Amino acid sequence: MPGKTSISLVGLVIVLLIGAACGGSPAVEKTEVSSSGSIDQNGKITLEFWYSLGGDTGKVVEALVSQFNESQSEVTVNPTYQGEYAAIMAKIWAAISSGKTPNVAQLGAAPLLGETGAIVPISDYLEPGGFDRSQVWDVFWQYNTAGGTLWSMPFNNSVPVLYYNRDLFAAAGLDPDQPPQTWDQVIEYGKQLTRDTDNNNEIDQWGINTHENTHWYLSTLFLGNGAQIVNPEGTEVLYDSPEAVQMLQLWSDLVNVEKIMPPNQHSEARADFLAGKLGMLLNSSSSIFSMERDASFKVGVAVIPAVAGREPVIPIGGGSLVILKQEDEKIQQAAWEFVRFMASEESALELATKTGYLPIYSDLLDSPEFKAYLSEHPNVKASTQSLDYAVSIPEFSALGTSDSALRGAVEQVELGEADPRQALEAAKAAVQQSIQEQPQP
Amino acid sequence: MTAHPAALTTRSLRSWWHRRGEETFAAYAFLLPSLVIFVVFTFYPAIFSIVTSSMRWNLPYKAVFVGLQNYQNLFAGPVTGPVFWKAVLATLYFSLGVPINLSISFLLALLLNRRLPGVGLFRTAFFLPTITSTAAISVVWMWLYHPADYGLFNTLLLNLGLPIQRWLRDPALAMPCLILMGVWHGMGYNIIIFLAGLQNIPRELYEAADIDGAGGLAKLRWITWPLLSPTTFYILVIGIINSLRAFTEIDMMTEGGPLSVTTTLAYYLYQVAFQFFRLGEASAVAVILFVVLLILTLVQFRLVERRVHYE
Amino acid sequence: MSSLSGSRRLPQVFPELAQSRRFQKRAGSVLWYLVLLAVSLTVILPFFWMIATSFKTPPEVFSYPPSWIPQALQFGNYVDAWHSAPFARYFTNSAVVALAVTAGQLVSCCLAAFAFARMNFKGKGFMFALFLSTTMISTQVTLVPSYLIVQKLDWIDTYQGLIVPFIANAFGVFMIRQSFMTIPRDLEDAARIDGCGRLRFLATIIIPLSKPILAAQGLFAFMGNWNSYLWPLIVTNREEMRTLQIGLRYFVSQETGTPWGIYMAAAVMVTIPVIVIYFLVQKSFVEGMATTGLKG
Repeated sequence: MPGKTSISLVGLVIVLLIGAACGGSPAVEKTEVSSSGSIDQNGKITLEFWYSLGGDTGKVVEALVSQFNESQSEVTVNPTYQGEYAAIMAKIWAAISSGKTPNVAQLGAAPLLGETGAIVPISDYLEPGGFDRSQVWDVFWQYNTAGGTLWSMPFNNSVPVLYYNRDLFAAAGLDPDQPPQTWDQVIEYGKQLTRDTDNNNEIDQWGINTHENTHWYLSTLFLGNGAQIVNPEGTEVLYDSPEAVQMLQLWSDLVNVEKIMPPNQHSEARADFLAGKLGMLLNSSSSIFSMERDASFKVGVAVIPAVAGREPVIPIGGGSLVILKQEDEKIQQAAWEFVRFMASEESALELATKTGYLPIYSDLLDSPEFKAYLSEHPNVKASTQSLDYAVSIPEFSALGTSDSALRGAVEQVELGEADPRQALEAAKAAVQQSIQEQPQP
Repeated sequence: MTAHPAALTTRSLRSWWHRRGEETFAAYAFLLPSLVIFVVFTFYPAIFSIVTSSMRWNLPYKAVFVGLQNYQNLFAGPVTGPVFWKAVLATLYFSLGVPINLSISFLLALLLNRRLPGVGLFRTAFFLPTITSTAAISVVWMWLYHPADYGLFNTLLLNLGLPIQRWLRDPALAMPCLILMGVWHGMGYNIIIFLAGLQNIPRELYEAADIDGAGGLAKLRWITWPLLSPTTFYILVIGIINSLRAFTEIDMMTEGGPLSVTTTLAYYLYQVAFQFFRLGEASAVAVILFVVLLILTLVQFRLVERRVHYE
Repeated sequence: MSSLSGSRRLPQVFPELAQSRRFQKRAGSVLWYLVLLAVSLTVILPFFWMIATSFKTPPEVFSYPPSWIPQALQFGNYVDAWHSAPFARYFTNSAVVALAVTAGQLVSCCLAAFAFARMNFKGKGFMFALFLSTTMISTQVTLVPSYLIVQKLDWIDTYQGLIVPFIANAFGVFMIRQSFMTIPRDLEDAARIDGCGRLRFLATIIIPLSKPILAAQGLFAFMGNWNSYLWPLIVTNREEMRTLQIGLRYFVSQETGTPWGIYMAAAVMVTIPVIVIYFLVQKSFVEGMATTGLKG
């Protein structure tokens, strides 16, 4: 039936076009957002809390929620795990589109939600609530600020750190208690660690590698050399500067000149390290406990190395708490009380001592409980030391595109497809196109 | 059956109804359950996405109508254009796995269609890849394809005196590696479908052929292949549709790399939607993918279905 | 039809032929076993890895050379996995939903396939193209609009929300249509003469003859739904309505590191029901009695 199928094709297209024309544009209207959460007859409030931390960390979060529920009787919080970063973002967007959101959510890139009008700036509650901002490291407030507004509450943060295999260090004649502190030392150490252990002319033990989020580690190198990622207004990315190009060149040299890093092998890096095939690994401090658990050798952790003559500059990562808009002021106030509890000093201590996340309160480092914890887990010292050098990369809407572009640039130089300048210029071009499409203020 | 314009009497209407009308009505009744679900959960969202493709909707900002600009950007834009066309090529490359999968599944189904003891175990073995946790699959295949000399495939190569390869991390080899993995993963479904199709071939035909002294190859050519052709056609058409939509293997093993050589249109769609949050552009890619698939499928029906033996 | 006697007569007349035939058959069988064994081993590798890893301690998971047989069987992984989440409840939900979707799909697909395979009606080609076109629509873009609909219907956190969107499946319609089209017209004519209505014809004659393909489609429908993750995640907010796949993903943590031993233990538990269904069903599409149905 040849004739019939072509008629079908045309018919189908016409139907879809008519449907499109008549379908309206549901996406363009701004939906009135109202979160769930309810008040029953006795005035008891129930809140919905969505979080995206799984496994053992998720258990700690749930324990904190239970503590909150038990500590008072006016508010009950229902926590539900909503998958990791991509899944919870999809859920939140779906929820915002439908107009029915949770009351509180824990997720990454929280300040970006500010533009949607679906969340209430935390700053609206901090002052009236008498919260003392100075108790928390300033870098965490910066991390949660976008466009001059403090949107979200600091909660779970991490820094990139240098993991190293103490046994391999010792075998290579390096002192396991003296990890490298500059990139020059990294190269030196790396050369000692890179070997062909079974004498078949193939390197099977490498000096250094990084986990998959290469954009994070590259950003660390950029910042450490004085380069910036983006301008304060969020309208231009700045990694085509000479300082940045220099650091991508360094990265490229690790692979192509010094040959201490395998080209484009980042997906395998963590498994290689745990299998004892890699001397040093750049990874997140939040993985500390799983790294120690999964390794069959002694793991060492050090602060990220710095450029010689400069101090380290370490960008933080992690998630935050947001309060979603709710018409009923009582419910919104209850949501704030919950957020305040979850970000209180006691909760922060609990989170910091039961997971690999950073203590966000500056005086926690002097508290006896935390000191005791550090003496039991000396590897955590590296992440707390990193706090002295921690900074926050400003959030901007094209961040996702930018991270992906930087990963592409890393890939290109490692495989010798482009030189660092070309790669970064191409990355910038891709991101600028996205930025240009932002609505002008 | 054209009706005489002048003779629209109740009798001629009733006879039309008895001839075609009643059957048409009944047929739509049979289609109704599926149709209702499709309209609500597939067509409405599809229309929504066509509308969205005419907008620039970069989260978290609101949507803005831009007409065909997304399509212009994809086809000819300075930044997005090359990326899009590279994805088109990658998609075509990846679809080479379909005929490979079809051939291998066909042969294996023939082998598994015997009554020898233990065949049940073998059949189960081939089915296992489709139900094994994707995390387990990715861990094992990452070891097989590990670029160092201790990767399992590399160890094999070294034993044969050949140089090691970087497999998934080598832009030239990444796609063939994924195709192999895709074939391995999808074999189970196709074998089951082929087996089911083989069951439909009456045994009497084979027995009659045996009497005539027909050998294995002749039976294959004159009985099995033609009578299996409806099934083969199905697997071809569905294979291409699934191949163009495939995403899991790419996400597990290469995340579209290295150097975007394994970024097919489906993976690009995922990136634009869930990593860059450019929903308008993502919808445009989805529409393009849909149109490509529609055309490919209709072409197959037109060219290939006439060679299918249904009875 | 005494067709068997013909092929058996030859060896009786020529005994040497019989012997060489038997030898050929044996040699063929051995070769068959070897080939299949070799290919099968490569195919079951990841499955075997999954089981082996479920019994390992964390350092063992990452040890090199990779260990295929764990040092000691860590049953604790299974205990930990089971206790980490309400798996019994998840299992009930997954089972109810998957079985309902399977039943729904089989019914809707058989009806539609019958229409396409056996009936002539206006707009048939167009409708078939329409049905097929549903398979070409990317799920990434249908996710949010579908969610909005389910939400408007108040089906969040309900079984309906998990089941109804999936009781139609164009792949199934297509596959079953192919099979229905191979059934001889004579059967239909005979039935019509006997005054058998369409539905009854479908139910009492066509369906029993199509057991293999229906078993296959049923299996696929079940598996597809059993393994689905993103949709159940999006339309359920409460623990009590969640499915096994969501429970399984709870262990995966990119940031902090997945406990692979426990994860694989959970994965093995989640896979077992599918294997059971496979065993129950495989007889149908493998050892079905294939006849033309025209027995005298």
